[in-house]
Order: sequence, then C-alpha cells, then structure tokens
Amino acid sequence: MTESTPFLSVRNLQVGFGSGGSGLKTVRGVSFDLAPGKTLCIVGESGSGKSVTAISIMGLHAPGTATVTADRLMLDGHDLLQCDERTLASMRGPLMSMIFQDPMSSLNPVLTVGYQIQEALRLHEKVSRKAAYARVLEVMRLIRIPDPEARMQAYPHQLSGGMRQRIMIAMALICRPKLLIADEPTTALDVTVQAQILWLLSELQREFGTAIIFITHDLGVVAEIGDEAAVMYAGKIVEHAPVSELFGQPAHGYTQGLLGATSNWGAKEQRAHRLTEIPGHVPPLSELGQGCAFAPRCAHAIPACTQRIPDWQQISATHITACDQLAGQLISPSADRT
Amino acid sequence: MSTPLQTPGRQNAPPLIEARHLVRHFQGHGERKVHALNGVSLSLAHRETLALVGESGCGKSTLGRLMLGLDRPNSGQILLNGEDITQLSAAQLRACRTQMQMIFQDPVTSLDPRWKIASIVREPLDNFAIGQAADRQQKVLDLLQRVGLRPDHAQRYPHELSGGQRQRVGIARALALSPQVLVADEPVSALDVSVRAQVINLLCDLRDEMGLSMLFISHDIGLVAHISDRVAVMYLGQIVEIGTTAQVLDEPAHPYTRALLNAVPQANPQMRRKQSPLEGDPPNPSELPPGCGFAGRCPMATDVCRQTRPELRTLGKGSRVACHLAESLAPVTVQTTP
Repeated sequence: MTESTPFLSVRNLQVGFGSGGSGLKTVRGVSFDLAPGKTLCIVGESGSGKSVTAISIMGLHAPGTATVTADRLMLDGHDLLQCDERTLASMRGPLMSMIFQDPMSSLNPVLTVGYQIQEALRLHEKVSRKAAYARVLEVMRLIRIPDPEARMQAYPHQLSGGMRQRIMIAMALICRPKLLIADEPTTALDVTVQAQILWLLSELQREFGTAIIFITHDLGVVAEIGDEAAVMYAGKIVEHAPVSELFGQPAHGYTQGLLGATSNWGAKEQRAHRLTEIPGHVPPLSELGQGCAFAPRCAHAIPACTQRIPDWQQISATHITACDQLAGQLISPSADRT
Repeated sequence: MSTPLQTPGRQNAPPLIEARHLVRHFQGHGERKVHALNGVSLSLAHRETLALVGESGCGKSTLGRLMLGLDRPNSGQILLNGEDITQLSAAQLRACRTQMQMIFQDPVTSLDPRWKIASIVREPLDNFAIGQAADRQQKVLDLLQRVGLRPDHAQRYPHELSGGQRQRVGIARALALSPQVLVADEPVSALDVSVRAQVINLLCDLRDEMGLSMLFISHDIGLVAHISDRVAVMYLGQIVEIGTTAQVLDEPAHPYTRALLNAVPQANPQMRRKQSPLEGDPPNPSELPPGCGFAGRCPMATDVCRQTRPELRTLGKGSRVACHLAESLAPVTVQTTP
C-alpha cells in the first residue's frame, strides 16, 4: 500500500437493499486498499457481504435495487461513485473485470464460447474480426485451453466444469484488466481442477501485475494464494492482515474460530483432535444488536462486547482487528487507531 | 481379488456390509454407456467408518446408493449381514431399510417444506409402525434433543431453521430407526464453515454412542482425516487405493492419490504449492480407456499402464492399490507442519 494514492481504495462502503435504502444493510462500513500485483482474499461465510462488496465495486447492482454509499471508492484515479453507467461500462473490461462462481449459469448457453470471449474486446477496442480472433486464440493459449481453435466453436454445455471456468477467466482477461475480482471461482470445482485454476491465476498475476480480489470461504485457498486477507462477518471486516500474520497470530474471535473449525490435516497430530466448533449460527441482519456482531458466539466475549462496537486495534503495522479483548492480550497497551 | 478388506484389529469381526464386484452403468445416448462403477469391492465392519473420496463423477455417490439398495447394480453382490440385498424383492428390501439409513447432502431439498419437523422425523417410525403413537412422539423429542435441537423446533417448518439445524433434522430422521449402517453423502458440504465442525462433531459422537458403521462420502480430505478409520480413493468408477487413514494420507501409493492430496490447499501459508499441479481432467466415463483410467494424466505412465487395467493388490505396508508401478514409485515426503 503506498501512502499517496492506492490503486484501489475503499472507505466506509455501505450497501443497503430495499426501497430508498430503508431496508437492511448487508455491507456495513467496509474499508481497504489494494496495490497493483497483489492479491487480497476476502474471507467470510454466506451472507457476510463479501459478494455484495465485490458487486458494488464493479457497479453491477441491478438499477434501483441497491443503495451504495462510501466515503471513498477510488480505482486507479477514478472516483467510481461519481461515474455514470456509461463510464462504468467502459471501465469494465480494460480496468476491472470479474469472474463469477458458477460458470454454467454465467455463460450464455446459445453462444459459442469463442464469441463470448471476444464480445468484451469488440465492445471496448476497435479491432477487426480477424484481430479479435487472434486475441481470443492468444488468451485461450495463455490459460492453457488445449486445442483452442476447436474449443472456440464449442458451446458451454460441451465443456467440463474446469474448462468452463477457464472460459470465464478468458472472458475476464481478454481486455487485460488492472483489477480482477474473482468471486468464489473454484468453489464449484473439484480440488485438482481448483489447484490448476489457482496456479493459473497466480502465474497470470506474476506476468501482468494484475491486482486480484479473491473472495472465498476456504481458508486453505487463502493460505495458498493470498498476500493479504480481510475476514468479513455480518457485513463488516473484523480483521485484516498479511496472510502469514492472519494464520500465525489470528487476533479476532471469529478468525480464531474459523481456523479451529478448519482441518489442518497435513499435521498428523491434529487429526485425532476434534474440530473446534463455533457455537450458534450467523445471525440474520435484522437481529444484529448494538455491539460486536460476533459477540454472542465468541469464546472471548465479555458483557461490554455486546454493548459497543470496538475500535480498530493495531496488532502490527499491517495487521488490524476489530476486537479489543484479543488485541489487549496480544499486544501490551494498545495504540488506538480510528 | 475377492478377499474382503479388513481393518487391522478387527480381523475377527465379519463385515457388516460387503460389496463384491459391483458394476453399474447407465444408458446414455444411443449405444453409449456411462460406466459409473467398474467392479468395486469393499467391506464395512461393525463400528467402522470408511470414507469414500474422489472427485465428481468418480462413482462414489452411485456406490453409496447401491449399498443402501436405492439402486440396483448391473452385476455384483451386496451382502448385508451375509444376505445378498441385490436379489431381494422391493418388500424384502424395505424391511432391510431399518438397518441402513442415509444422510443427504442438501438439507434444503431433502426435507419436505410442507411438513413440520416432528412429522419429518416421525415418518420412518410411522412407516415401520414402531411403538404406539404416543411413544413415537416421545421418541421424536428424544431424537431432536440428541441432535442438539430444542423441543419447540418440532412444531416448526424446515424454512424456519438454519442450514445446520436442518442437517441436524436429517440426522435425527436417519437415526430414528436405530440403524446399523449410515451412509452420509457429503453431509456438510452445503454448510458454512463455522457450522460444519458442529455437525461433523455431532455425527462422530452419535456414531460412537450408538455403535454405528458409517460410509462417509466426501471430497473434503480434511474432514475425512478427522472422521474415518479407513479411506477408499475412487477414480473413474474404480477404487484405486484403500487402506487405513494414516496409510492413505501419509503414504499414498497411487499416483492419483498423491495428486489429489497434493491439490488440497492446506490452511497453512508455509505449505504453499511450489510446483505446477496435475494437468487435465478425468476421462469421459462413457469412453473408458483400455488400461489404467489414470494413465492419460499420470506422469509415470508406461505402455503397460495404457494397455492393461491394474487390479487392486496388497502392498507390503498393508494398504491395497491398483497401480502397476506402485512399488517403483519413490516414497512420498510426508508433509509436516514447520
């Protein structure tokens, strides 16, 4: 993160649904920065607001459904909140693009995959059909789709799940975006295919310096590809740290709970142990109280936790947590930061 | 090849349920046949948990359904307490169902939305006319308590419960008849991470209390490491390796097992992947290769592998593996936490 202008900067992002924003807020004040060539993993469970955060950055909410506000939403010098739909559309592709979770429902079943890959290119760059064809071949080779000339003519149903997800990646990459948002791109895939896709994404990042926001619920995936990770719970980031620090010194009850509930099966001595449970379940957004949303499930909670939302606590220069209980244990007299 | 597989320490116990040379294929378009199972033999001892792992399309769910008599094999036998259930009439099979039950993957679609929880859990008791009506009602409340639900949940509908609670209802229903064998087909893959550990721990506790045998079908190696006594790895309708959990996870002998384990991301940033993962996809199960199903992706494959299908055979360490080259492969370096 540079001091001056981060590549992507999000401050106090709030997203509400329902008429006039009167409905429930699914994202309740999310802030983070992202530098070029880095991967930020957003970790959380269903309903934590991680996908809504991504869709808000892309500006892809259906018109009139969501109310998006933020103190800042800047990408590569552009204020995304001030952009009209035409400007945003011109940015989607060359500046930012997104890979969705389910390649079957995100691809058009009646168009060939070759057509779908070149569509964005023809829209954004005035290239001839012939040049577009060459670019599609190039990007298909890049993501190692075997026999690309033949595969271009295929329809989505003729391809395997892993191959369809590669097509989605090709569509997202054809205009060489500076920011790639991947929303659970491997959740529907088998592990050997997941390993191929993760490997591919990190290779592409090394080559092109793409910034990646990778949304996942799988801490194994975070450990595999993330530079930094932001853990989300009930619409807020509760902890944000470099991946090594997050796993080495988790400083929020929810992060600790997630790590305990995740099997570290590579370590033999861990196998006989029971997985640590997080009691209860994620609260509906309509039932959030005054204080920390995780307090009712938290092993470290004290009565005060349910009364007020804790300030950010600094664990290290790059590691922040929204838990003063644990921060107090991990660091001696805490330096407050707002 | 037909000697039943035994667990160390349980040599004297006859298998509770045993599959012998199961073959199941489904009719595809025209002459094409989808070969879901190609000669699978395995056995499950009293109080034993056997995990079936493999990727989508490997035949693990088909095998689970056959073992319960929910589907019939094209050839082969399934012996439940020595009786071949593939030869039974529908009425006879129905009587067997009190001894074996299933927990399904999706807690939303496997519960009737129009039924109250009490009726869902009571249905098996009503079906087999167990006890008086009042006793059944009491039994339902006992079962709900046993799976960690409150008595007032009995009068609710499935949509009023969270995913984890719904899966608890599915477990209560499966246990209502006090079965000997439980087949759990991906019982937690639809649940959030924080709830997954609760349900897995519950399943382990109930299994131990009630002395159940369990066939645990999963693609999640981490969970398998915690829950199972033995592991069978499936690929393209065959068991390619079977042994104790420690044998399979720590000393995998089949190149596919190795690739599969290698592909699972570990929740430990120090164990990041250093080499490129296994390439390719499994072959189409309607066009089986003549030799080893894995030969096309195997880095070690020889001409023998491509021409002759390897059978399961016992290795020196006691596990069984279907690979011509198992002895000549270098031992794996066991991963340990740094």
